[in-house]
Amino acid sequence: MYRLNDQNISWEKIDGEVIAIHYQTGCYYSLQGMAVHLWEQLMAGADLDSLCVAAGANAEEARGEIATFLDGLRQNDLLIEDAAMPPAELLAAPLGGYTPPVFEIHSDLQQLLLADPLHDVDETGWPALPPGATEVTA
Amino acid sequence: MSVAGDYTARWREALAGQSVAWSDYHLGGWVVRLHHHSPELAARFLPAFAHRALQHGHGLPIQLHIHLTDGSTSLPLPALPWGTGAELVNGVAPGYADDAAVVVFDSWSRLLHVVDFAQGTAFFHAPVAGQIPAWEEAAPLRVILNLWALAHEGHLLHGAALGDERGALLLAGPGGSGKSTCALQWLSQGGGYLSDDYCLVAAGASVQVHSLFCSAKVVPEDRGKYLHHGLRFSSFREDLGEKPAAILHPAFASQLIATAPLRAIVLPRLTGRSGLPELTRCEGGLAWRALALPTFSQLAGGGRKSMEFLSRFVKRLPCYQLDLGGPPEAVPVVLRQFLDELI
Repeated sequence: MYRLNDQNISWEKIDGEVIAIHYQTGCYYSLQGMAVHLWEQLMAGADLDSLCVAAGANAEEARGEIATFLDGLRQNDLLIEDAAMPPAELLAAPLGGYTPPVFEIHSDLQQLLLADPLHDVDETGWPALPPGATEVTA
Repeated sequence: MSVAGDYTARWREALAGQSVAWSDYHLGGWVVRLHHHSPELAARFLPAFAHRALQHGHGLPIQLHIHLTDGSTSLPLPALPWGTGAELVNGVAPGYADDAAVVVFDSWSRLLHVVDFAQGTAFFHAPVAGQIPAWEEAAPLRVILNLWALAHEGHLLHGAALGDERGALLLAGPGGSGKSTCALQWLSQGGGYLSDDYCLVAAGASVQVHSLFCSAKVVPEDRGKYLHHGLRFSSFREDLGEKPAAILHPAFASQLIATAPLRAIVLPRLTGRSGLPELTRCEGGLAWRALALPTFSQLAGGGRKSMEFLSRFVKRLPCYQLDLGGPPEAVPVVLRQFLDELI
């Protein structure tokens, strides 16, 4: 079983898309379609077996795709293994049948969310002016 | 006391008992008093708030005091609490943001923002008042106002807000997507105006947008078009790519709307098409992306609360893409018709 790494992650479902932000890595993630369905199962306490049932996926190939999806979420630190999670109450399989779950990783917020060291604080207690910054004129 | 609270207390002590000029404003539902310890900062900032100024003797309780200081202020002001190598995340060092106080430092522009929520007091410090960037003069004190709003179910957002008391649209997108062009066209055709760049949204029982700044960015070569209105322009550095901001009060006072219910998020984008602008429904995730990057890059200090607000906010409104490309004069006609349908 898994639980959300809620110390570092917040997420929201917006118009059928799950957007999750990792505040330590600065990445955000977009899940759509089947990935959203599985994400909701995971938040309810599903493991790999119950994910496959929830996805309506019986074939070995589908199981492998779901396992890869799950590994991706763990490797990106969105989920933490937690044996104490109560078992999931499964949601109905999606109407459209099984499609491979995927998620996108975005890093365009990364530099804003990660630590930026202060440079060259002078004797006045303030960092030096950035290059090119001089008196502003009207 | 937390390190943020302790640093905030040092600022309070440094300015205690100082009697300076002040001015009051009604901003986002709060009465805010600006204390002019730095006359130069006050001179640069006050025009952008002119449409929300309160007369002396208004008798309303002050909810937020903001002290404006610069390096020439003749008082022993606290230096930065950090030295070289301190690691700031989104302008904040570890331990310097909690429920009681936040300290934010923008290391590019060297502006310090300190907010004490319990005391309703904030401090804005620029080492050199003459070196503040043009965007700070066009939309002053954004970081402080945003942190204050965030503590009260609100948030500043990067977007143009157009409409009237019955309802408004929020136009969001990166620089160059056409927001300011749409806003100026809307204004020039007599539309009600709340912002072209930053506005405050409050997401309580209803989603409301508030005007904070009566400024509008124009490209330098278009300044002449607006001069006949007798507008003044904020300072800017063309060599740094900055745009001048026209101060719309008092010339456009009758079109400046204080607050309106927000009806939809509109994402303009320039296309090669030549017909009328066209609106199509889109998913909220697009609006989230359009708002998240500028929100985080230009409104430091909100951190996780900021992102969580943004996600909740986007879910509450329908989102549309606005394809631009034909004559800009047609934009207000299309937006007006759309807004009337939503109201």
